[in-house]
Formats: sequence, structure tokens, C-alpha cells
Amino acid sequence: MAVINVEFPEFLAENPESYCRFCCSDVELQSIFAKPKELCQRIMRLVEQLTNITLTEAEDSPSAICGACLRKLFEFNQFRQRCKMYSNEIRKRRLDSANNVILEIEDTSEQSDAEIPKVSPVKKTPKFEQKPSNQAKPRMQPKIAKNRASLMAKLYKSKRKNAKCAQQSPEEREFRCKICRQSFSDKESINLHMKKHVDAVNLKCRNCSATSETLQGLIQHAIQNYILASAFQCRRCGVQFNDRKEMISHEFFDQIPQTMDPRLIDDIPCNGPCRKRFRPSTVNMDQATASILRSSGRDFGLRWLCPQCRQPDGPLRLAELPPELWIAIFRHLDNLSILEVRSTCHRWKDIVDLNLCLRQNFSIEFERNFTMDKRYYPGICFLRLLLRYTTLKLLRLTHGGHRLAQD
Amino acid sequence: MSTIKLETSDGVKFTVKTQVAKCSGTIRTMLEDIGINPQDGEAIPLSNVHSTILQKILVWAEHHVDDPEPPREDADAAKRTDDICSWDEDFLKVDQRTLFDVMLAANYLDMKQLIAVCCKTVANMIKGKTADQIRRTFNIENDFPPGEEDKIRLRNQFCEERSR
Repeated sequence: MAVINVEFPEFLAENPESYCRFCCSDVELQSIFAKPKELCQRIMRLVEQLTNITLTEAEDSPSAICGACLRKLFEFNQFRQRCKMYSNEIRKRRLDSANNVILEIEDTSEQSDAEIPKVSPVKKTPKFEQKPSNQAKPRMQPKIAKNRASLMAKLYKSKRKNAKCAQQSPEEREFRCKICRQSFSDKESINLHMKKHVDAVNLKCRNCSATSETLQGLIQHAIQNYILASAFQCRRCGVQFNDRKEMISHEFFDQIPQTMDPRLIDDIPCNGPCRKRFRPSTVNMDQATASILRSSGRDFGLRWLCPQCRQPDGPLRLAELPPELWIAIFRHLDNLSILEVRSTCHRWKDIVDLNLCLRQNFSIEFERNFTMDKRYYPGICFLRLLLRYTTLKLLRLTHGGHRLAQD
Repeated sequence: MSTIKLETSDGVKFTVKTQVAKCSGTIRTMLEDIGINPQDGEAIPLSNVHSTILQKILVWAEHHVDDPEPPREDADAAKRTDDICSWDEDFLKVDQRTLFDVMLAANYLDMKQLIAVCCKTVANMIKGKTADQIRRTFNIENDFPPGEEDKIRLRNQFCEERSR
């Protein structure tokens, strides 16, 4: 007989309902005595019948049982009943009386049910379809309630697996999750279970509550929401689009999605604090200047300010310093300060964002040491993203006929 | 020693030693490449520079006229802001208005050393401050619509300093 080492976790001394009475696990805990009386009695009876442990309400009153143990109890009870039924049937069959067999089966099942009072709705399930007994071997086909379907499927699966590894040593059959102490019957299911823990812990976006099943999904989420969110902007005219598709169709065919106000395209954006768009006619601007500002203003560092933003009476207009001087200043800053600068005002944010020299020191970091910086090579993550990313870049490069500083 | 004349935006004429004036890349180019002859007595017009600022810049240029050419800066050296010499530090102890005017003029005159010193001074003013403090220091209006600043801050969390 193999020696079984029993591990006791440290929380035993605490609240007795914070761990399973039978395996010390702390998942899917259900209080034994807090249940309806019938169910409680049923559990106590099962425990007594199957494990020879007598639970009394006086001595063990606050106790809990975990879902896994409860399932095992029920499984074992079912197993016991089935064994009884089969062996009874075989015994009867030997006595060779076909009609009696069915009756006897019914009898036995009633007997076993009588032993354990039929109380819980779960218990009603073992109704067996009665097939004509000329079958070589009676197959058990339980009609089960929906909520038990998965349980039964699990039961059969684990039985099959147990049968496979039945020849292995008994130590190998005990698999327990190190995190939640749930026990499993075989390696495959514990691996599957461990994956659940890993995913829940790691694959969570740091910025929002989004979670993802896979790492790829998380990366895609981050790229879509945090990297490309500000990138769907036509570099030629500064119009922002909702997604990449709209932007590409605009770049290729000069199409503006119908959802967007077409007037916005003609208007010139103010680079001052107001960020509004103005019709050229309302601000006394001729069409030629407007078209220059629209087509290449941003790329050449031309920044137009609306009359309101250009008020000369401000104490010190920072707009007086040209961007290259700000860049020269910001280059002396460490990254933390640059991030602060970035969140100071629109103009500074634009200056930092449009300058690769300043931005190259940031990197966008994902879990598991994936970083997305200047040296980021998307192929290390997955190929699909690589394709999307490079096509996006290429489109940007060719668009407008001149190389963009940022790329 | 040859001198040249400079005329500022408000019409004041300065007579400057050629060597001092050549601290400015713009003037040096005018003299050497374009071939303006300073002996003609004609003043070089500097229409973007006010006389008070030019005076200040000339003081700086006179002090630094014998400085060796700066070594080609690499990325790490550019990050340093504590290597301002004490004379420059005192020289730039002026109000912000003057400091920015000096910077603008130095930019126009293409005086790389002076720009670098000014940049370092301004960078020191920014360093270690939160966005709110920076706004107060430079009198910048917070022009983000409400909520957007938080969004940017959230995104900033993604940007972490690259490990070295």
C-alpha cells in the first residue's frame, strides 16, 4: 500500500468554513450544515456510507465541502449504485428470466434510492431507460437534467481516463492545483485548469479591464486601442477616421465616409488650444493658403492659429518659440519628464508625438516582456499583425508623395 | 582688429569685433559665403532681434569668443543638463520673457552653444515637475478638454522607460 502524504495548508486554524472539510481546498465551497435540512442529511448520509466518517451537527457544525469533493461523492454514489445494479442484473440473468430482470432493476434502483432518501432534485436523475433485455449488455442511458449533463460528461470522461491510467501507480493519479488546491484525476485536466489561472493572472490589459483568452488577443487589443487609436489620421489633410479601413479608402480614392461631415474636410484646423476647424472664408484666408495648410501643413511644421488663439495680449505666448527649439529643450529631458510634458498642453503633446527622436525612448510594454518600441519586430508575436502593421506603414510612406518624418 | 556694424530691429547700431560676431552662424555665413564686405561701413540688418537682446547676446559672445569648438555631441551627452558653467548660469538668471527672447534670437543668429545652454536652462525648469507645475511655471493654459488629460495619463502608463 502506497503511503500518501497529506499536506495541510496553513489556514486550517481560521474559519472552518473557509476550507473544504475533506480536501482543504478553498474553491466552490459550500457550507454543509447551512444547506436545507434534507440536503444536509443527504450529504451526511453519503459521507457516512461511503467514507465511514460520521458527521454530527453538534460536533462538526461549521464545516464546508468543496464542489470537487461533493461531485466525487455523488459520482461514487452513482458508481456504487451502478455496480449494484449490474451485478444484480447479471445474477438474475444467470437465473435466466428476461422479464424479471427489468423488474429487478427497478427494484434495486428503488432500494438504493430508499437507502438514501430522495430529496434533492439532483437525486431524481438516475432513471434508466429500459431497453429490451435481449441486449448483450444493458447500457446505462441516463436521462439527465441539463445542469447535470456536463457533470456526467465529465464523469464518463474521467472514467475512461482512469481506466487508461489504472495500471499506473496510485501516486501518479493524484493531481492537485497548487494555486487553488482543487484536485484532479489526471494530468490533462490539471493542465487545462492551470491554463485558466495563467490566463486570468497575466492576460489582462493594464490600462483597462479588458482580458483576453490569448496573448495575441491582448496584443491586438493594445494595438487597436492604444497605439493605432490615434493613428487613423490622414497625414495629408489631418482628418481622423474611425478605423483603418476608412483611412485607406480615403488615402487611395479620396473617399470620405458618409458618416463624416463633408464640411470638415474643407475646413482648416487650428493648431492652437481651441482645436476647432474653421472655414477659410470666415477667417479671411484665401483658397491657396488654405489648400497648403490642408495638404502639407502638419508635415512642414506650418501651424495656423485661429484669431482667438493668436491673441497677442497673453502674458507669454509659448507659440512664440518654434517647435525645433522646444524639441531641443525636450531632448534634455528624461523620459518621465517628457511624459509630463506630453500631458501639459496640446502643442507640447503634438511636438513630442511627432518627433521620433523624442519618442524613441519610450517603449510600449506588454506582459511577458513583449515590448513595442522602435526595434519592435512584429513577427516575434504573430505574422498576421506583421502584415497589418507593415501595410499600414507602407501606405503612410507612399501617401502624399514625400517621406514622412515619423516613419 | 576689424569690426562690423549690426543694426537691430529698433534701429540701434552696434559695432562689434568681427571675431565676436562670427560666433553667430548666420553672420559668419553672410561674411564668408555670401561675401558681404564689412569694411563698407554698411550695417548688417538683424530685423528679428531687439537691441536689448542683442546687447545681452553680445556680452555672452564676448565671454565665449575663445571657446573651442564643441565636440560633436552624442545621445548621452545631450541628456546632461548639469554641465552649465557658472558664468552662463548667472548670465541666464533673467526673467522668462528675456530668456525666451534670447533663445529666439540665438536661434535666428544660429548660435548653437548659446541655444544649448538656454535649452538646458529651460529643461532644468521642466525637470522633475508634474504637468500642473509645468503649466504654472510657464503660464500655459490647460487646453485639454476635460477627461482627455486623464486619457493621456493612462496612455503614458504604457510608456515605460526602456531598460538599459
